[in-house]
Amino acid sequence: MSQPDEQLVTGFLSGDDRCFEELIRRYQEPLMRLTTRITGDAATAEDAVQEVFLAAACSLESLERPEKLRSWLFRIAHRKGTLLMKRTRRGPPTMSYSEHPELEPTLSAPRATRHESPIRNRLRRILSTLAGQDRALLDLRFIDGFTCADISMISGEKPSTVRQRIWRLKRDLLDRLEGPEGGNA
Amino acid sequence: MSCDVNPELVSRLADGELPRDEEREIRAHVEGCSECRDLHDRLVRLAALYRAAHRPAPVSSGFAERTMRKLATIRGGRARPPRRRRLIRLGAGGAALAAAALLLIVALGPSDPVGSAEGLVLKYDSGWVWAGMSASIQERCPYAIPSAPARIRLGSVRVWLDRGTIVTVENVAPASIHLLGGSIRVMNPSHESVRVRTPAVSVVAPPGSEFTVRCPLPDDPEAIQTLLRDSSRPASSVGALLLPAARAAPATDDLRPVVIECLAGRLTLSGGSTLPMGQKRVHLGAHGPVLQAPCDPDEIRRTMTGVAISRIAELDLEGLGRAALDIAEEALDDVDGEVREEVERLLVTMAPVLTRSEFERIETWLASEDDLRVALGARMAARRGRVTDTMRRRLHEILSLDSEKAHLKRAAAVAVLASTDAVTSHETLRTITANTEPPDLRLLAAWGLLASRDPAGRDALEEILGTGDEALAGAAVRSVRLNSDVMAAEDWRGLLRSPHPSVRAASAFQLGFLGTPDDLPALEAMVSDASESEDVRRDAISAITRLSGPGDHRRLAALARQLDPVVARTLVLALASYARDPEVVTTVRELSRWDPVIRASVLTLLARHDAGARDALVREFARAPVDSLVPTARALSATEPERLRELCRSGLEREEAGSPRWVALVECVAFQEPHRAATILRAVLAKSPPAETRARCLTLLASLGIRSDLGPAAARDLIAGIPGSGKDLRGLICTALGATGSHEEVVPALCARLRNDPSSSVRVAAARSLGRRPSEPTVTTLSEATLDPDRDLAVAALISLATLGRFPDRAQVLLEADDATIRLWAATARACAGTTPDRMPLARAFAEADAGTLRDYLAAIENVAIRNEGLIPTLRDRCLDHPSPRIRLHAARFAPRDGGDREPAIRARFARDTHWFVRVAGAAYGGGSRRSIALALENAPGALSNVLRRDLARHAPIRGWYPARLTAVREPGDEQVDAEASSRVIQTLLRAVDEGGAEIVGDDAVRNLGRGAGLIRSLKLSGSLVPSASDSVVREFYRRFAESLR
Repeated sequence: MSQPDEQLVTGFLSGDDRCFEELIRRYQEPLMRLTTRITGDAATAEDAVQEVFLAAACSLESLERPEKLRSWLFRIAHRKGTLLMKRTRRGPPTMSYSEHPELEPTLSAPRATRHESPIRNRLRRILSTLAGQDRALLDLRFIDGFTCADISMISGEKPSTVRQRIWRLKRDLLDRLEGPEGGNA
Repeated sequence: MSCDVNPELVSRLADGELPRDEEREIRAHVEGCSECRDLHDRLVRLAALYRAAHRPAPVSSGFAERTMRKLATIRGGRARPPRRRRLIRLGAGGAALAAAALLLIVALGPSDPVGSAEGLVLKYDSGWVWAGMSASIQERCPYAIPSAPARIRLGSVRVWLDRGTIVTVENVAPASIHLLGGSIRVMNPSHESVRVRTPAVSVVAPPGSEFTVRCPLPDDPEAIQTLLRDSSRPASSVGALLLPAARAAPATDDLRPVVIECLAGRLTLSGGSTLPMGQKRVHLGAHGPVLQAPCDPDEIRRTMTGVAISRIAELDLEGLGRAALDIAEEALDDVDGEVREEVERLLVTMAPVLTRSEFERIETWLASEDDLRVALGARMAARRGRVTDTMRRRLHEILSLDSEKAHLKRAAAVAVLASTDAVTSHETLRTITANTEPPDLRLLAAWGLLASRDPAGRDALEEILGTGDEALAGAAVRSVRLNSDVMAAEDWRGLLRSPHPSVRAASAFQLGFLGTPDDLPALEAMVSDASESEDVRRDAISAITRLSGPGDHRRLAALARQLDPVVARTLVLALASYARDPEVVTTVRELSRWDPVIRASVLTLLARHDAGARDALVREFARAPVDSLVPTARALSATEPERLRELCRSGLEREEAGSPRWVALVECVAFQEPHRAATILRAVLAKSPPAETRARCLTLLASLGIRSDLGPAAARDLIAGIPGSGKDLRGLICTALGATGSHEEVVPALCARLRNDPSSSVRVAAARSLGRRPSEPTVTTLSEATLDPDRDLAVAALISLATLGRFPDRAQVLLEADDATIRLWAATARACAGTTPDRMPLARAFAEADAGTLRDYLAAIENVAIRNEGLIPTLRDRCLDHPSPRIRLHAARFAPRDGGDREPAIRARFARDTHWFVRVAGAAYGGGSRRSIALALENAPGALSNVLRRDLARHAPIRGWYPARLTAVREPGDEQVDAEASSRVIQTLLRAVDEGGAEIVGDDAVRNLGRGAGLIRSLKLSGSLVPSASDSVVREFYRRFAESLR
């Protein structure tokens, strides 16, 4: 049974570095996914995530509600990723990966694509055409399970805007997924 | 959807995001409404599908440990990691900085061997790595090329490697470096080469000095096939972010990313997104993923400074100059000499594109006590060609410093004064040419004077040549070579025997312009001397081809046969002009048959009179190189128009539309039918061709449009072609729109370009073209542009307004502008627009425009004189008292000839001028008698300047004899008209007729004889000048001439 975040935070603040290492292992993948979506590049994202953890370690004492650690980390990661993307003035990841969904860095095993259901592969192809920020939004909602209010706090957008964006994205996905093969997907 | 419920509420229900009350209500509705229930179920399925399709993001192994180690370092309060060894190993010479960022071309090698089961070749994946390191492949994966060593050259490292390949990097041990994904070229088993994008490639250097290349090339054959199929992707650039943003540019946030893009060498100015930046916009092209390299910022900054500045210089963007100057200023302080040298070179290159405010910093450099900054600032000012009043004062301060202690600064100051062509610099430069100054400064000053046609420059150079310093003499001769009319032929003859090859070469070359046929034997001896250097022999041949006449061609053909083919090329080409002489034609054909460099040119020259050459050209047309097509067509257009038309027609059918060869063929068509060529180009443009084809077609269409008005349809196509074109093409189109199309269509387009184009050069081109488009919108737009912060645009707008004879009220303030050139052109535009003479602003502008250039000054005078005759007396008075003799010479053109009260006084003023050519011009233009002109000429100490030749030749009282004398008599000196020399020229011509006959010597001889006839007639008419011209010679000439024409 894994320890809750609050205990790990308390342990780290008491001087047990292993607690923080456990936090890193726990959140490295979702944070990596978020920053990769935003920056469009795995290596940049890895740097960003490392900076997120370093920043978190330095200011963990100031975290008033340790139970909110998860959304707090995501918010730092979102800002860090956005900042990096703006700095480098590069476009969303669709500029590179949408053209080659099979090359998307999050796909760890290209060979496996042959054995999966066609509808799932089709969804992947459609998703690969979305902008990185949109993918990040859907991930936060569907994969990480954040509510619109949480996502609003993470992304800094108004809750109503987040809701609208999620609805539009879902509607678009449905249309394309159920539409004729060879469409935009 | 017929249901009234907002579907978003259904979505929120599916997500469990509704407040409890609302959820109950909506859930009840959904259960009763089939549409909403269906939507709800689909949304739930979508969420489940999304989760199922999710794959975890890859995290590199050891990430947590690395982060913890880094955290420990931070918490331990350890200072910066120990400074790494310098990454840069700059080589000798200025080119070293070109290696600042090495491009590591990571090629995913072919199967081993090529053509094996997979048959896959991947090439040209690229990324940036540091300078100074070398790489070699240590281990090969199954795809790698067998035993392919890293190919290393200055500026780049190219290795062939593949997934899993280990690259050993020597001389450097950075923590980690990331390479990028980007374009790669893929060759499929059919050897079809296609370009596709790859994902990022990371190079991580473990402790030690090895880089492990991880390239996520898909393992799956299907994925590879997908990759191969996707061949339509446009190539995209790759690069890396090497300079931390915070250090890149202490400029605005908007600017910083652009500078970073520049540093990475990835900024393209076409297509892509638009970055607003002040009044201008930067277009950023699409690019690949970027990775930030965690490394020592100082090292990177030093490495990238030169690259950054060169990129910035290329961009010509407002605001970027400031960033470049910031970077450069640091570089000047702390980098080693070689980097600084390169930085200086780049800064000088970009000097012309700096904005006025940016250039003010250069003025502060000039004011500093730092020798290097002063020298660099001066070089930049010289390159920019403009000197403000503040800078001028500073330059004079520098010149007053001690000669020995401040030599570097003083030399820089002289270089500025010599380069800017500033009219008031002449006195200073003349002072510098005094013997008390160091020779190199005297040479610089003399060069500046020569460039301004000031005779003092020649005197200074003669002294320098007499110092015996060969290196200095060589430099002096090279300077004079650019200003050929300041030394007499006799001087050059003396230098033919100089021990210095460059002096001998320059002398031979100059004698080609100033010498006589009597110089031919010496020059031919030079050419025949096998021990003479090739450069000298070539220059001597060049002179021979200029001096020789029809009577010399057979002797020269014999000479050509004895020479080395490479040396003889120029001579063979010159002989090809004598296509009527079968003997010469035979020699020329023989000597050029196996020489691909000149063969096409020779055939082109022979084609006029030689049917065989024409046949050869026609035969070779189909396989001629693209570069030769247009000259060949030019040669055939006059003699074989039908065959040329057929060749072009068949060629166009055969070639792919838009290819370079196709475009050259269209240009060939344009020789005979420019409008048809335009129609062909427009037809291709109408089919939305690929970008490259479109650019080629538009470029040619614009070039044709500059030559002649192609009509409104072509103008419309050109206008439509502006969006999406590069700045050079946009500028070309704007220039073409000055001539092509109707005012109604073209003026709005040019006005829009002038207002909105992000490139300064395009805006300037639009402003210039608007000067040919009189209309009210034109004047309004140009008026606005006069107040534009872009100084070049403001000047161009004022010049166009002057041309149009308009001066808007809003430009009144420019009469008081800080910039002298703007003041000058504002006053000029006002003068051109005025119906009544308004002397004061004009006179003041001319008086104060000394910081402007002679070119501006003289052009302004011309404009005013053409547009407003009432101001001519003002111009004349202003110019007459000017310290520059060239401007006084110009004043002579306005000498009064109306018999008014002032005429004698002004004529007397010209007569006592200190410079002989002002005296001559004053006499000639002022209505002086031929005798007075002759007297003035007698006192002329040297060769006539080109300016004087051109000006005097246009003048009515002396028209008729002067041009003939200048072209037919090559005797230099001009102390007096030399009747003996004139007779000698005529005798030469007659001998040519005797030897070859008019049929052989051809049109050139007939033209020369015609000149001779004019000369004789003129000499007779001006008998007081040439009393010794022999009547018998004249009679004999006419007889022979008449015979030659039969």
